[in-house]
Amino acid sequence: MDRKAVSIYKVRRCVGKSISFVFKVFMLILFLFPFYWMITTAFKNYQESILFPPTLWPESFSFHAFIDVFQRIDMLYYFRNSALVALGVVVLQALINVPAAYGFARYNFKGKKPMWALVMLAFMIPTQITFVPVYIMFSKANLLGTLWPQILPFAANAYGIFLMRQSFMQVPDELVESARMDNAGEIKIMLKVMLPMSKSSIITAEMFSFISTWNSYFWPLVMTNADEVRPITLAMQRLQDANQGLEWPVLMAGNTMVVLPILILFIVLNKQILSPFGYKGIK
Amino acid sequence: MAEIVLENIEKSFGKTTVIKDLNLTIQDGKFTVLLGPSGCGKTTLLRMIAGIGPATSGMIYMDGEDISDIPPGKRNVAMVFQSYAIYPTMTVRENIEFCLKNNKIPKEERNRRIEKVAKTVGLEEYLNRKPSKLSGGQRQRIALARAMVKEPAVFLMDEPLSNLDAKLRVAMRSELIQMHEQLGTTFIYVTHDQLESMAMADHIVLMNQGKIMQQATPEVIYNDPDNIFTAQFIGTPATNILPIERREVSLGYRPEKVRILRERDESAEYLREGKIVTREMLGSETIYHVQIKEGRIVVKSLDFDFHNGDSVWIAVDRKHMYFFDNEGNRIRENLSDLVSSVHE
Repeated sequence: MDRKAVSIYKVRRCVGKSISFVFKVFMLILFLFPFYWMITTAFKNYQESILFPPTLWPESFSFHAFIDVFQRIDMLYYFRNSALVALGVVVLQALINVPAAYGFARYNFKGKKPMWALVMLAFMIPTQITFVPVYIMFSKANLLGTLWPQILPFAANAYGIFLMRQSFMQVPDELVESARMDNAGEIKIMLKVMLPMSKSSIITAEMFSFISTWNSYFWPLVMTNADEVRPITLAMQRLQDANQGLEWPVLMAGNTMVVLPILILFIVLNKQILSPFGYKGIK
Repeated sequence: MAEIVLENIEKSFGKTTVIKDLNLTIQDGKFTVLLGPSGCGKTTLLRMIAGIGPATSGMIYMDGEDISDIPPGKRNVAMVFQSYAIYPTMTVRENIEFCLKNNKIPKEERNRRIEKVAKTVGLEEYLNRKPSKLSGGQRQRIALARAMVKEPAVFLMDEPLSNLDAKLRVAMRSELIQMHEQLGTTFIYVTHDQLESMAMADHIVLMNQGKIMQQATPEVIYNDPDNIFTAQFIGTPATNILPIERREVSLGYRPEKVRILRERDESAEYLREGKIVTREMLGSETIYHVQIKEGRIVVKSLDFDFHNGDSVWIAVDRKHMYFFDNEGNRIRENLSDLVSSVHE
């Protein structure tokens, strides 16, 4: 290659890198700005929050909005509701999704194909279609006054089963055979060989479930009749209903607190999520 | 210590039958190599003995006891897989310990055995590491250690060296031979590499398309092949096979048994005039492709002085000539007539 070609190549690479950098920064701002706006607004006082043109940084930090949230609604109670529902879903999914995915991935049994088709079908049906019959079902079972209508419909989750099945299927047969030769029973093979190898997928699937349950708004809205069983997302709505119009700092303070557990979860599990299909085999 | 007998074994995958009516005895304490091209059924056979790929029909006996229905974990056999099948989430120690724990061996005994095998294979310093942090050769050793720690009656190995680089493979080869000598247990080793089999085996079972072509010691299988397949599969370059005119017989001789000459040698039982077509100088020996009247043959010689285009004489002694019938089986009787028919 002659000098000119080399320098053209260098310039091109440089330009390409800069464009990609600018694009990344742009996307970052696009995604982070709403969070930034939410958090800074929470620390403003009411006057500042409706000021035009808006201030990018609070002039005087005030925790007033946060205190206000606790005075208006019983935050801790709703937090507890949301946590119970989300944890209930996660625990039940671990007990149901994991064995189901394992069965679909590793065993051949009668009716496997139609059953898998059923799972895929469930994957495709939107909740908006199912909520009325589900509501009637829970009403007949006299469970509407409890948290169960928010937990039980999500105890098994087609997406989770699908994701975990893929990762179980990626475990090479030889490993299972080797474990059999090591005199390990089926349960031991599942617990000691397969599950640890599919850890990332399981964590990812479970985390998605936790987040979507924690964030869910529509489902609890239609499934609950009483405040005692409502989750924190619905409680946020009550911050809006104040007579004197929208108090943005209070609303944003509430929302900041709602998002906080998920942010923490995301930071803690960050590494596991980034490598959901991490196993490449060891040779 | 165990002798394994396979009786009337048949194996089909769906509609394709890969092994049909196979009988084989694997001798106690010997290093037996199952050799053959890919798809010949050698790994299938190994998996049957291991219990992870049962035979469609037939019986498998270990020391006279029928083991067909005994689960793999209780057969007292250990297997080294081609991919090693190391549990990636466990440390080296946990990998080795897994089977001992499953067999409910007490902790002290476990530790004693792990220390011992780790020392034998040279993994003492790595016991607490994850396999992904180790090199290919070390992973191979984990697989070996995991098999050894069971103290099995039979070791099964499925091409355990094929993932190693050439140098390491040769080193591990002699280590495995040593290991067999120390342990004195039955080894069954699967490979497609005839050189590996010749180097390691006490007894070679050569297979092709689900059938045993010949089984014998490396010396016999090299010097006295039963058929064309054996003659050509063992040894590099492959044995020259030439049809004999007006008879349904062919003649074979090994490239390294051919004498390549400048002058006629009247004493030779087989003599041809030829011309060198290509020459490959490999260091200690040189490989020539020589055109003779029946076709092109390969000659391996220590003499590197011949060059492309040289006219030469090819001579083979009677003891190095093999005759095969039209089904490829060796003809061992009435050879004088055949020898004289190919003289010149």
